[in-house]
Amino acid sequence: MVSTYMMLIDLNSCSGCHACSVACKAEHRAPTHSFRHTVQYVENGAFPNVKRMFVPTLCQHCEDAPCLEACPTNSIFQKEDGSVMIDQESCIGAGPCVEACPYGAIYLDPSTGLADKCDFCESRVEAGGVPACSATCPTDAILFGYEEDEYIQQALKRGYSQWEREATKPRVWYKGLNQDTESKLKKINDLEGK
Amino acid sequence: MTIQYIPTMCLNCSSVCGMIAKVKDGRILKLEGNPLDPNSKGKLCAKGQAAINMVEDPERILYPMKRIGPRGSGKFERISWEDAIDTISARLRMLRKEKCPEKLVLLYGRDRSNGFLERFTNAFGTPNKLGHRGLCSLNKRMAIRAVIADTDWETPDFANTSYILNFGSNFYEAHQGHVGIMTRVAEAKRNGAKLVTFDVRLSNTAAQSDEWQPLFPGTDGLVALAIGHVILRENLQDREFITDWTNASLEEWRAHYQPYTPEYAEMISGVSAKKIEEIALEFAKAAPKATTITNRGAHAHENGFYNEWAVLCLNALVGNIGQKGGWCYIPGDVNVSAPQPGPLPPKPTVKTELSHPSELPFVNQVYPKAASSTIFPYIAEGKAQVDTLFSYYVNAPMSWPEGPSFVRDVLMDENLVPFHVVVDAFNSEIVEMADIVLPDATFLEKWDLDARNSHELQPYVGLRQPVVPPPGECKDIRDILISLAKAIDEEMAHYFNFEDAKEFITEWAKVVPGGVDHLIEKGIWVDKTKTKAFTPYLEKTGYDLNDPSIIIDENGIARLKGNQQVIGRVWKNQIVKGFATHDRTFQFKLHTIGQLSHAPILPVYRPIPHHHQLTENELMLTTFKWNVHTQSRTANQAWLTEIVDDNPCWIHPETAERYGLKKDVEFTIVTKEQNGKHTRITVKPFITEAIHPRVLAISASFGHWQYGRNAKGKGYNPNSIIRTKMDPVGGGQAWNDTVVTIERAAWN
Repeated sequence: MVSTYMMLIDLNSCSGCHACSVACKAEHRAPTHSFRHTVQYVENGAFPNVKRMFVPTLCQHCEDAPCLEACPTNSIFQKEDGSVMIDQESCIGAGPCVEACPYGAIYLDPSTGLADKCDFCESRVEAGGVPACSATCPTDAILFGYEEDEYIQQALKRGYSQWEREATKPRVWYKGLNQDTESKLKKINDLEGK
Repeated sequence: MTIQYIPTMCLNCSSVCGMIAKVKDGRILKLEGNPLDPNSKGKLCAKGQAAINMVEDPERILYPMKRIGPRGSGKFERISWEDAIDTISARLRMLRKEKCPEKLVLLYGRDRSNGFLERFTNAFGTPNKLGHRGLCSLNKRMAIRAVIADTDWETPDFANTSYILNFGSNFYEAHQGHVGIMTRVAEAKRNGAKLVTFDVRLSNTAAQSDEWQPLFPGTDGLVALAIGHVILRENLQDREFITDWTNASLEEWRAHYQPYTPEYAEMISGVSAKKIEEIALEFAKAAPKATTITNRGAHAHENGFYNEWAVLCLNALVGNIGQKGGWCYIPGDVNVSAPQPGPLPPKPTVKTELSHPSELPFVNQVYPKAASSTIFPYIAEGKAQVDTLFSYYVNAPMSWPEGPSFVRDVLMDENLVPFHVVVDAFNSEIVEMADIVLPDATFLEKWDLDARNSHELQPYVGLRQPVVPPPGECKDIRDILISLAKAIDEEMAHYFNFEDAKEFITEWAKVVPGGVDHLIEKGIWVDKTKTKAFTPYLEKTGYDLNDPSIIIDENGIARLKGNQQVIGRVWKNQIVKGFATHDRTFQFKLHTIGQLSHAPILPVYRPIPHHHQLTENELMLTTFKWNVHTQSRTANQAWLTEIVDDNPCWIHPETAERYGLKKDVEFTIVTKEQNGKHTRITVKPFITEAIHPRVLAISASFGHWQYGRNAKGKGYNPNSIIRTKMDPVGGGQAWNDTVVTIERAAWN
């Protein structure tokens, strides 16, 4: 059996510091105001019982990825390790994938006109590292590895869930993502009212 | 060209995390954390990583310039470095010739040269090396230095703690030590530690705390005293620490805390008595693996020194000081591990009202040259004569209290400030006020040895080195000062006998094993020969009670017979180091405050005049920092500004409703000056449940009218309505004490 990747994000540890999203920006140089990764803030409750959750959001690398279906040139594909990739060679920037993604994880790069998104830092991982967001996280809230890795399995026992799991079966899992917070999450590249 | 990995140290905030620059063809591809840094352990925050934007800012100042229009007109022309150095040195030489070197005032904002600026002012003969300390953390530093004297900043052992009481620090977003603290607290929390935060606003730190306790501004000390009251009432104190290691008896402690009941604290602070009882019991139970942490929420007040002192005393009360998992301390000055190369100039004997303001006698004794709030008022009032103001890495018109108004006016006045040299990398608000502008190298283009208090409690030395060459004719401040000193006169040159910054650092780094080469390669050296600094006050001195070379007085203080130097104190039949105070104990009483400042000598609650007689319409204005910005230097960094590019005023929904405020529609905040005059700012509201209903909060960072197109014109600058006001004992700026009203919206 081929191993598949998982990313586990512990919202009880996340400090909302944006180190992950700026690391992503530096690593991949997504254009200003386009995001492969962004941290969303969700506030609940009334003074003094107010809570604020921080939710790092990125391509969920769905098992049932709607972007795959939507692409007219079949440029979006799933690797054996489960990561969802865009083939920049064949992408024509038609854009239905941007609309199809329920998470808003895909943007059209204004300089190339092509679709782009998180690739689980393929080049870093191939070189033996972990994605940039995970590497820099000051609270170690972002874990990345193979599903059967011991530390992933150990972490999973602490209770993780997915964002809109029924719809797309994401490979990114969250600890502490309650329904109310989930319902307030916005699309990653829809920054209106952020 | 191949990719190079060059270790250096961040300075996009003052936590100075170790970083590794990935560089190709003279361009920085990425900045990542250096795993060898004992504090940040390979992590780097958003600001650190966005420093690439700072280096590559297309609007940087690249050449020396001189003013050609009226001051403030923004009209400059390019000059050569030779011209610049000639002009400045000729003026400065005269001050020395005329025996008035104190007319040179060197104003700095972020000085991590760790002594080089002072070397210059000392060699010159002026005591006026003045900075922003009084604006950032003076009340806190004063309290720690007066009470234990070993250092001026705490280093709690967060990694091993079980309980953290946070009074007004936002260490998940800012704070000196930010990343190092955040990593450890997150881990401690996963291991079951509890974090309780007192803050007027749900900061991200408060949001990640197990409990957020909102309180009325400036009442942190009272809450701490009430916690102490409960601990003593329940007999949960550490009797041995109090008796052996503080300068007061347990009876004196009891007597002092007696009036501070939780009910009294609730009435003033708003924190419920029941909650205070609960926290007190939990804190005492967790001790000694319990600690406090503080910052501006607690101390940027007129009573800030006393608030800090009261919080600090909680750790003594339950015996956390220096314990594993407790409130620990270790010096943070790199000069302790690595003394700089000589010859060092003598300290000037002259004192001025700027360096030693006579209204702050206690500060002058404990922490001289640290007051900041007095600088511009004193210049305006003629209490100090200035000829040349040399401003380095500081943006006073933007970030000082009354910056955009009063400070700007003082800097515009050529009678008050006849000659103004500014060293800056960007077209900042202070560059606008300059006569000569010198292009600074950014921190990724310069040399320093640097370090902070080690959260591993083991000293280290780090290197900041150029990862790319400075663009245009930008220069490292060390190179600028070396050139200036050599041009002024031979006596100055004597102390600056270095070819350049690199040679100075190479000399300095010789005290580190492997020298500068080791640091160039690794970035960090940790002194593993030192054991972790737990209970440093119990360290043995090497003398025993019968040693013939010492005298022990009736208080158990041991001195050398020859020079009378205090070496320690008798404890359990040994002579141990103790604290660095005059009697080697933790100071629960400070008689010098009484003598010098005629203020209470115990950690009391000092109500802030006016705060507790607010009319229904009066509110408190406070300020804070975002996690992706510093106070005045990051708004031009695109990767940060795309996350936060505005700073609306936080206001509670009920308060907003009372004044008819609507989402995103600007409203006006008014303050009344002492002279009865009203000043106003217009801001957008951010209506949120996450703030105390009597409090408004505006973050610093925005409200630039210069600093390049990414920064300019975004958001609001609250400083024009924040009065210059200090704690009269601690000397720190009272940022969070401004009483304001809201003008009813016009449509209402």
